[in-house]
Amino acid sequence: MRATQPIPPEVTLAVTELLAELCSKSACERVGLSREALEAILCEVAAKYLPSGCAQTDVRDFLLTLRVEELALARACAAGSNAAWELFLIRYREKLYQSALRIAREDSAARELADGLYAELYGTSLRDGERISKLASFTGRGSLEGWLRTVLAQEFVNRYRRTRRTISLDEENEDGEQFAARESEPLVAADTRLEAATDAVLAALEAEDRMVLAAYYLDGRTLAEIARMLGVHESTISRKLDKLTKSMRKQILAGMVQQGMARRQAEEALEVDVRDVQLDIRRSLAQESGKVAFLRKEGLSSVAAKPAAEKREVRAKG
Amino acid sequence: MQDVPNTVVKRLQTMAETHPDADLLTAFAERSLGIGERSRVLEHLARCGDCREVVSLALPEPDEVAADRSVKAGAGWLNWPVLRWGVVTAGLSAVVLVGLLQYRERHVDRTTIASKLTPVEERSVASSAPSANAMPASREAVPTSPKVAQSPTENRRQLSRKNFQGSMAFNTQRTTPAAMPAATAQSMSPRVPAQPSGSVVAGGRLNSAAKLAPPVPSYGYGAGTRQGASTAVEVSPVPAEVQTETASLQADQLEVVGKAKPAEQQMLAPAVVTKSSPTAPVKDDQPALRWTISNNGTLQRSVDGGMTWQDVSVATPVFKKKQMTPPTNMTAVDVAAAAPATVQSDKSIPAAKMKSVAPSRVPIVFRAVSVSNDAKEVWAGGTPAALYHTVDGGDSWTGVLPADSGTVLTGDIVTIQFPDAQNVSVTTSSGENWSTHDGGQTWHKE
Repeated sequence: MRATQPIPPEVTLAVTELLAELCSKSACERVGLSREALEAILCEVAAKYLPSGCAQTDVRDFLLTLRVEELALARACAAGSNAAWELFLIRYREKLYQSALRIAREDSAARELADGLYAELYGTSLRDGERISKLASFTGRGSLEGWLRTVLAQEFVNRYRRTRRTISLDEENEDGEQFAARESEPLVAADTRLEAATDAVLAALEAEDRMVLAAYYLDGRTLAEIARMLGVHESTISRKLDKLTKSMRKQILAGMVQQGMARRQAEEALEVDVRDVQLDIRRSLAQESGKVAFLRKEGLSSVAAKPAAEKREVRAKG
Repeated sequence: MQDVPNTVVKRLQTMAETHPDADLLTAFAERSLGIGERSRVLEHLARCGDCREVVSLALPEPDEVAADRSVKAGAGWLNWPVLRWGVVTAGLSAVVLVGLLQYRERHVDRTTIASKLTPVEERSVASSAPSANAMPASREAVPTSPKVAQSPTENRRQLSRKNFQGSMAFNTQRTTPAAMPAATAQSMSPRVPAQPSGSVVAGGRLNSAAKLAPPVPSYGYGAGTRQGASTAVEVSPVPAEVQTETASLQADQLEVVGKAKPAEQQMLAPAVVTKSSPTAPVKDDQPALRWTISNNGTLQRSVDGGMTWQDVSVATPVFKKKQMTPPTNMTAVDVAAAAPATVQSDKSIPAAKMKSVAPSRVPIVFRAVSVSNDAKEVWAGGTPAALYHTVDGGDSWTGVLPADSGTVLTGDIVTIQFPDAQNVSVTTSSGENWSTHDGGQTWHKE
């Protein structure tokens, strides 16, 4: 990744200008990272996130928001500095296990998760005789601790959640789910106009609103969880959802009427579709989970994904 | 919550795109992204359930966040949450305080009107008071005497501005210098009531006006160091041998007390004032005098044979006792001045340094009353350890604290036996029996 992107000149200029400041701020030399190495890292990070052709002041501002101290530490670790590793372990070892435990909610899984991440952080795979540490991809946009949690969560989503779903097939059998009545095919095909109207309304929404809707209705998250994700108060989310549900129903109806449907027809379409879509959602959710979210080179997650695909097939046949 | 149409749910799911890297998701969760980047991440999150799950899973512990906030909040007293709640609390306190004071003021107004005190009456009381026998005598006999006084002007001022109780209440926050010597005198030299000398001591420390607890009369030694509540100055009707160091203040104080009395009575014990005044409708020798204790422990008197009842305040300046107190005898009297608000300290008048502000309605809960045949002489006792004596039908009251060779009566007075003028015996809730055979001068614990 490092060599893939050309460094725009404005980035180079800004980095050179701020290098002394950022260097002292990051205390990079203490963890065994040279000034030149830091410069290269800063250029790479800025080039990765900033659109090309942006003003030098933007680059400056961007560089100043970076957590250079943690960035330097992570990259020094990736480069194999012992001093950096010691510091990293002192600071984050305990937190990493705690975070893993909280994410996995189970001790052995947490341990496995954390150990797996450690291996990756240290760099198990070799490329051209060089260890590739996951820490080399840290860019200091957020805190290193938060990044570690995010990486753990991604790992968890990739591996454990899917594994659990696979296992749960057996559990389902135990529960007698194989005797469940066959889901009937949707009798009425959803009106394309309804979909179009819905899409139009959704597209007109703010990204945040859509995210809130998805988190609440698709993921089944609680208001509190969504609020924490967005860093707002729970009541804000509650109000937002309330408002959204009310306005959307109206807008979708209006959209369908605009497309030439009679009001009554539109209302019927909306109601009928509710039942049909119910089935579709279940299916599409299952499909969604079949995909590997965060593809990695190791291919661990693709292995984990296979049983899920099999499960879907079994269902389809059944 | 109303459900969205499921078509919405369905269409929320679209093709997954490239996921934002862990750095961006972290920065998003930590809210350190710029607006543009944040909306891009949000856009992705709206479509990608996996990333939503990652963000959700990667959130720090809620208590970590809370801990962070509390650390920030603890940084200073002037931060917003503290100020916000502080303002709310202060506002509530102020409202309750004003309400309380208004209520009291209105109550006093009613009694004042009921007594139909005319200016003439007031004047007559004013003129009669200094001429009371006890006055000059006690001035000589007792080195220290009532430090409780209000100047007439102050009282009038008080009456005239009923609506400024709030501001007046804040004045009570001052601890008057005179209060301390008085309190010290009490606590240092507790004496038996048999001592001929006694004093009206209304001292005490004023508490913050923001405290809204009902005033609790402190009736014991060292009461001056206790904290009064609300607007009331603690009144400690404790017989005390008064120290002579304060004698220099004496003359001035007595004079002022004499002057202050009428106004005070007008405020605090209207019934008493009307009786003492020549034009008052109630005469001293009114035959149908009756006594009772109301449900809430207020001592009540009826001058018309039980048709109407008046609350009787036992709070009366010592000099009111014109008939009974011998010149050399000054028994401690509780001056529980019933002013609803405190008197402002007036530096020009030494006597006014001592505030006597204790609500007459609240302080003592009477539990026993014993009356002589002609209903003129009354012994009344109650909580806490309160024993009062009047010989003039309730015009003036003497607070008595039975004490015998260093021990004092404790507990609440529950019964009073009063066979004749000389013999009185009382029992307390703590099981003590006290008796006197000389009309309350000396007491014996049995």
